Order: sequence, then structure tokens, then C-alpha cells
Amino acid sequence: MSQAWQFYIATLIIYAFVYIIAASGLNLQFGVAGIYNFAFIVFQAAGAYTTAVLSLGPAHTGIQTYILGVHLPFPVPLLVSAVVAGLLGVGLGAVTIRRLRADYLAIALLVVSLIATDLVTNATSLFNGATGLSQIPQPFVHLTSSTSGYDWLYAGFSGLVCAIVLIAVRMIIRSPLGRSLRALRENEHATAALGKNVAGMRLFVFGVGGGIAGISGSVLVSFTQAWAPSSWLYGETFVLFTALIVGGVGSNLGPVLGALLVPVVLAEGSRYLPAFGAPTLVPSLEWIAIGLILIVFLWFRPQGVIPEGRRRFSKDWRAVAPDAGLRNLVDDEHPGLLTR
Amino acid sequence: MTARLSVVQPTPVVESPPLLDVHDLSVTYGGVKAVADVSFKATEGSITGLIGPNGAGKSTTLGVVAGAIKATHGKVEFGGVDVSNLPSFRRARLGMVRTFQMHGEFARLTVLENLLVAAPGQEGDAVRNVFSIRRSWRRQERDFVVEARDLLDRFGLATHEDAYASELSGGQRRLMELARALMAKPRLLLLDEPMAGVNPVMRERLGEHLLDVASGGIGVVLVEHELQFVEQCCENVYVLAQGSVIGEGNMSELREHAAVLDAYLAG
Repeated sequence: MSQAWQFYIATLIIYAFVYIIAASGLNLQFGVAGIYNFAFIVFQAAGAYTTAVLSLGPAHTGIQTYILGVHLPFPVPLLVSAVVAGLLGVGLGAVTIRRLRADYLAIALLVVSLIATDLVTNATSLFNGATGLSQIPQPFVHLTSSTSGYDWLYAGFSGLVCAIVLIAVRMIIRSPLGRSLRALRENEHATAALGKNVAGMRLFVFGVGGGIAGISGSVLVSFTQAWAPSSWLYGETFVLFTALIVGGVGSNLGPVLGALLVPVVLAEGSRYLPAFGAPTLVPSLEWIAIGLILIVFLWFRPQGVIPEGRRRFSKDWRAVAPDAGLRNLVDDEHPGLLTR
Repeated sequence: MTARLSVVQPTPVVESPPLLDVHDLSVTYGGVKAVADVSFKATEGSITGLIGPNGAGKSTTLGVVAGAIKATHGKVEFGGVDVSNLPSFRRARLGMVRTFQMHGEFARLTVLENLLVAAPGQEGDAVRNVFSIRRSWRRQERDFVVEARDLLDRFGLATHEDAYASELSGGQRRLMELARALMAKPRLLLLDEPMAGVNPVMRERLGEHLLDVASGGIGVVLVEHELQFVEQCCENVYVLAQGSVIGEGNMSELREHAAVLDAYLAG
């Protein structure tokens, strides 16, 4: 296999892992807890920018300008990115979810996403404005001298991170906490009426989902070595939502399948279309295709290809001697209350 | 089983502090008083009714007591503790559990899961335990499943444990909600129109279960339009109209109450 093909395939694999990580974080927020986070891509961007400024070293005026500018060894930037994006999630969650729910929360977060892009684009001293940051160091270059070897090494690393994230999300979903989050998705008031701290649960999901998005951004930017506002326009959030809805909302494997089908296959598939019309026509058709897929699935199969599974418990988990119940108590001790 | 409900016989009055003591509760929405200086009490092991015509403020009162709606004025004491400033989840943890007039179920959770959500003090709800390799919460989970299955057996829902709550009939959902509330180990149940949309057979079963619950020592506050049921179950009834309490007593007494007749019963 030629080096170009190896690079292409390794890149596809890395992108697939990044999208799976991001979709899993969004699944936790939207699929499990029912939070419409239309600013999800902002958390990926937060992770990417954090990794960039913690890896690039001091800024050299004239080339690119950015805040902080230190060079920390791997995996510190990755870990800090997760924490920064998670804290951003908690902060944003604390501000927005106190009073906003459902549609209104979604609108507010969409606005946050637009504001964040505009802010980073125009405040050039933050992250070099619209040009963005480039020449972000790759973490494992010292381990191999071969370019293709590096790509495969990084694909393996991305896969490892992806596996860890998937296991962590699965542990949450399958725990009683995951069940409480699904209850929150179904009926917030009833969940609170059963003694669940719904505000705390929402903040937890905002934080963990944000942290996972930050990890996806960190993994991506360490590979692409560049990050700019055009990488995280609000539309990218809807690509992830489409991936989740196509794959299956709330299930463990849904985000994996959706991330493979929508952003990877669809985006890559368009590369093989023959060039026609204006230069921007094919990319525009890509967005139209994503929108159509979203509508078709919401209309005909809202549960996605792999729906959320029905939780069943071992039938052996029963009382050895079934309790006679309150009925006997009534009959024996309070016969006046029931007449037969 | 075809048990029939009978009118509750008067029992000797034993003075005990009320489980729930509501003082001068008011709720104002933009100048409109939805609830005006409502006071009432509920005791352990008895069913207290809140009745009144539509728009009387019954559900709003229940919402305020449960902590879901903020009162403009007034105080709610539960077990002698002022809980007026506690959010609903803290009140629930103290044992004040509420059901809803409509759509109180977790539709895409199974019936068994609906009950498991309510189990108090779940170790697996804590983040530190979720990521524990040993999954120490599993043993407790097993106990909760056993307990939930016992409740489902008792409520005749055992065969539906793997059904989604959305797949149950209206009456079955009401039963499930009551079972779920009991799973939370309540001291006080706040029930908002539990008989709404329930067929007569299911009503009888639900009524029996409520009497069972009360006889087990749990206090019940019941908002209900079904007056026959209220008469059969409730020892004490408060009548609300236009946000205020206009009468109190048992249903026989209330039938003689001119203001109540005027506002509600005559209709």
C-alpha cells in the first residue's frame, strides 16, 4: 500500500475515533439525559484550543498570537483539555440550566455557540483569530521516524482513548445513576419528586459530556496540528446530532455506528463525487444531505438504527419467601377498612 | 379479588402532632391569587382529601407543598420541621413523595426501572461508585429489584415488569405510580387526582391499595374530583374554591355546609 493510501486510511480511522468520542459525549447529554446542547462543538473547540496553547510553547509575535503559550509534556495537555472543557460545561450549565429547559435551553446554547465563534474570530489575541493556530506539536513524533508509522501509532492511540471513553460512558449508562439520568430525560419533575437532585445531575452531565468533547478536540488537534474557528462552526454540532439520531439515541453502540455512517462515510463519500457546478456546490450538497437524513430519521425511525435497549433484570432476583404484603396487614389489623 | 370499599368508620380521636402542617399558603401569579391563605393538616395513617371545582387551586397547593411551586407566602411543616425553603428533591428525601395528575411516568423506562429510580439511598447514584471497578452497588441493586418485584406483585403488575411505562393502560400507570411512590419509602404521599382516567375496576383496586397504604401508617393527601371515592377513603376533607379553604370536615358534614354546597357540591 502506498504511503498516500496509508495516510488516507489512518486519517479516516483517527477521524472516526474522534467522532465516536464526541458522539458518545453528546449521547450522554442528549441521548441519556435529554439535554439539547446545541453548543456541544464549543466544548470540543475548548479542548482543542487548550491542547494547542499548552503544547505550542511561548507565542512568537508576528507568526501567531495566543494566550498562555506553554509547552507541557504529553499527556498533560490532553488531561487539562478534558478538565477545562468539563469545567466550561459545568459553568455554562450552571448559568443556563437554572432557568432554561428544553427548547429554550437549546436556543440559548445555540446562541452561545455563535457568540463563541464570533468572539474567537474577532478577539485575535486569544487564539490567533480567524487564521487559527497551526504547527501544534504532535505528541509521539519522537517514537518513530516513519511518517506512516506515526499515523498508525496515532490511530492506535486514538482508538485507546476512544475505548476508555466508551467504557466510562457505558459504566455511567448502565449504573443506577444512568437510570436516574434517563428518568430525568423522561420527566424532570417526577425525578425530582423522587428525591433526585436534578440540577446536580444536569451539571454532572454537562461537565462529563463537555470533558469528553474536550478530549475529542484534543485528540483531533494533536493530529491535524491546526485549529481555527472554521473547524468548529455551529453546524458541526448538528452533524453530531444527526450521527446520534441515525445511530441510535441512548444506546451504547448507537453513537459508534452513527459516527461511522454520518460524518465519516458521508463526508468522505462526497470526495468521490465528480466535480460539477460551483466549487462550493458539493460541500453545500453535503450539508443538505445531512439535513435530509436527519429529517428522514426523525420522521420514520426516531429511535435510530440501534435503539436504546430495554433493561431487563435477572429473573432469579426474587424474594425467597414473598412478603405477604400490606394487604394482609390491613385484613388482620384493620379489618374495618376493607369489606369483602 | 372483589373487595368493596366501605365508608371509613369514625375512630377515637388520638391527639398527635400532624405529619403535615400547612400555614397560610399563598401563591400569586402576576397579581392573580391562585392560592390564598390555605391552611390544612394531614396526619400519619390517614387520608386527607382536598376537593374543589376546577381552578380552585388544589393542584397548585399540592405543588407548593411538594416544593415544585414556590409559595408567595406561608409555611409548610413536615414532621415538625419547616421545609418551606427546601427544594422538592430534599422534601422527597425527608419522605414527602408526590404523584402527578398527568404523565408522571418515565415513559421509556420499564415498569421495574420506574420503581428502581425511586429506591432511596442508592449507592450507584453516586459518581464515585459508578466508576468503582468492584461495582459495589450491585448487591444493593439486587435487593432493590427484589423489593420492587414484591411491590409489582402486590399491585398486580408483575407480568408487566419489562414493559415500557408508555405501554401500560392509564389505570396501570396510576397503579405503577403508586407502587413507585411506595418504593421511595414515603411518610407522606401527595396524590394528584389518582383516579383521573381510570376505569371503574381499576379504581376499586387503586382505592384498596390507598387504604392499605394509609393503614400501614403512611399519611396521604389526596386531590380528587371523584367524590364517592373521597367519601370512602378520606377521614378529613378540605374544600377549596377560588384559592381558599371554604370548608373542612368529613363528607357528610360538608354536604350540610352552605358555602361548600354553593361553590361545589350543588353543582
